[in-house]
Amino acid sequence: MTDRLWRAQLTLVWAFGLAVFAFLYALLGGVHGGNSNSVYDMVYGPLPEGTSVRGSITQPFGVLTLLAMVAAWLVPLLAALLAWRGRRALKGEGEQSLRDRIQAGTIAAYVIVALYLTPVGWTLVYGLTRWTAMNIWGEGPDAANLG
Amino acid sequence: MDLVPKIGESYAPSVSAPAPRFLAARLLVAAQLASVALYVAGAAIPYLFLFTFQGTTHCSADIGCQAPGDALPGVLGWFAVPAILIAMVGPPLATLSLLMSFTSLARRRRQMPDGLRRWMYLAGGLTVAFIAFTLTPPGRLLLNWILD
Repeated sequence: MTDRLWRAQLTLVWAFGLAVFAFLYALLGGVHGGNSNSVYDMVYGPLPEGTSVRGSITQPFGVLTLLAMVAAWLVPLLAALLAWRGRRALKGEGEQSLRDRIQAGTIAAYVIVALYLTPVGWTLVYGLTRWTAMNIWGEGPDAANLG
Repeated sequence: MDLVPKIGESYAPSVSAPAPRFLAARLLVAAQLASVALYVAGAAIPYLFLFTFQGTTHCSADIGCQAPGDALPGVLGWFAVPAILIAMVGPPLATLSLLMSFTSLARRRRQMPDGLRRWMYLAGGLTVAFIAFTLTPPGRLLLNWILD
């Protein structure tokens, strides 16, 4: 049971939380051309008829989405690892305050693993990946000819 | 004996340190509860009374779409301003506040008074419910009303 394990768990939780932050932030903007009442459509659906989005590598917010995408892909692997490591560590002896922190971190890691088994996790990964691609390469019939 | 206390050491070792007041955690709970309450009172309830109970949405065929400024007269419109801000930037910021709640609970839940700990769990749960609601079709409808 070490402080390093707790720090890794805390980093994992914040990385996941910041990926969710970037996802919710991108839902507010118009990466996908417009605000729909259905989040499902905005993540999985095609762009509205006749709409194209121009991509550019220099978009500042594209970098945010890109980082969030990387986090969203890596988080489930790390969460599984840290949940297992935490469970093993909690079987041993340790100082009470460190034990409390690792217990919280382990529960959080389990919750994150569970979320990736539900549409919440897949949507996060799919949405961030699609919007990153859209930010860089654009999407739609006129994507190459815009501005 | 060394007369200069080291960093982190008490200046008066014989006096016990005062109990921590958890000011940041209390502020966090207040901010979470206030934003959920303002969202419900300033955006969700007005929308229910103005449109949903009349069987319409804010966009109707004969008068077009009504923004909050058109639909809410005078003072009520000002009352909706915080709700408008919360509906737009609330969900991402609520995520950050949940991360802070987690960090604080993980580190110091044992030292916290029972009441505060319960409030933190309650406010965190309400915040999760708020974020989930804003992602559902009615929540998105409210957002689109506000963005009109």
